[in-house]
Amino acid sequence: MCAPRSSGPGRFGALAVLLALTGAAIPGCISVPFPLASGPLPDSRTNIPAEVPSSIAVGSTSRREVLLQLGEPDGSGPGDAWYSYGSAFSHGGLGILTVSYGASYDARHNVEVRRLFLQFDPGGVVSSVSLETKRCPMWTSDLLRHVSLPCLDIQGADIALQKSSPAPPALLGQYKYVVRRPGDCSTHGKLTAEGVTGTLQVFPDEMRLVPSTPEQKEYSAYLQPPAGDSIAISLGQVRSVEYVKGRWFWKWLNVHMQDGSCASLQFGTSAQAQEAAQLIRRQSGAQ
Amino acid sequence: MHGLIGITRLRWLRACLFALALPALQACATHPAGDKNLLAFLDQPGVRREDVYHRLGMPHATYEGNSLAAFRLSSGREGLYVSHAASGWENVRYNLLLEFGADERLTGHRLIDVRTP
Repeated sequence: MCAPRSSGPGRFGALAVLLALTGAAIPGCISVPFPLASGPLPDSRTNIPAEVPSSIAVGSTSRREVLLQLGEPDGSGPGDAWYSYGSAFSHGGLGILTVSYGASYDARHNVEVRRLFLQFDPGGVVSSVSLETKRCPMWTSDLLRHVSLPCLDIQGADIALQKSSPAPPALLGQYKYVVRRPGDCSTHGKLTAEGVTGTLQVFPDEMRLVPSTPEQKEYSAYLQPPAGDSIAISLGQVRSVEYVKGRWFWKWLNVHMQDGSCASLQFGTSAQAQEAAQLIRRQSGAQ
Repeated sequence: MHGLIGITRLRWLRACLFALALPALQACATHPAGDKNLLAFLDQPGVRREDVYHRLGMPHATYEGNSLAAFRLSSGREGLYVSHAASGWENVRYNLLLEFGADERLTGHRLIDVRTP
């Protein structure tokens, strides 16, 4: 989607009115609105067609042929595994020149951005090709020191980021209303609402407690707070998992770590606790 | 007091002159006139890579194991000139791609119109 980001026509319109009123109200300050001509943006190329050129075919066109047809790419991946070509065309807009004890220039363009993205196989032959077109407002403001970004990155950085991001790990089990019990692991005790309450997620290599109340955090040496609000425990460091049947219907797991430390996790039901214990033991190879 | 007003007026006048002079200054910005025969030497036989670099300078980029060299060219009053803009296509008209063989001699060239006015 062509997200308007923090900028937008409304914000620009408000700025235009503000500038015009300021110009009218303050002697020695003039705001002059003027229409902006349509055409390619100053630093944009224009040789990107509206459709994928018929001369570029998946499985047969080489990277060399692409270069000789379109020229240098605007963005490229490691080892030239992909090329991104882009153009940005303004369909006109409004500019405001404000002259006071200096001059400032603000402009809003209605911009159409086009991006051709090509991937190459190890032999340097096109393996995929796509063309996107998006239209969105862009504005620059000297007054607010702001230049909005185009709604499509012609250098293809966003696609590159998607491709380089590792696939999310498989979620093997998820348990809600789990409480990380404070203090040392004990085989005695009662139900507690203290400590970190959240959802326990078990992945192939680790389990994460994602707190439902972010302000309740209790970290110890083996509970590393990763990015975000979750607490992660590496399953490779788990030595044993102890299922504790407390008084009444209170059940929890004491997860003993290789370094002698321990985490106590209280579950809503005994079935949940037993299932989680089996899963953690299986994934960690612990007892 | 009168002195202060005088200074304010002077600043105002200076700002107005600056605003009015902007378009004129832009028109005065100097661009090379260009050379209509800039690329004529490419059609001669046996052009070496070093000849090209000597005439056009270092390429903007090279591709395919250095066998393709890319130059950015702008159009002046009298012909083309090599643009040395660091990035973007501002004031660039053509992308010249030169193909070199294993013997470092020019085997082909292509002038791509990347920014039609």
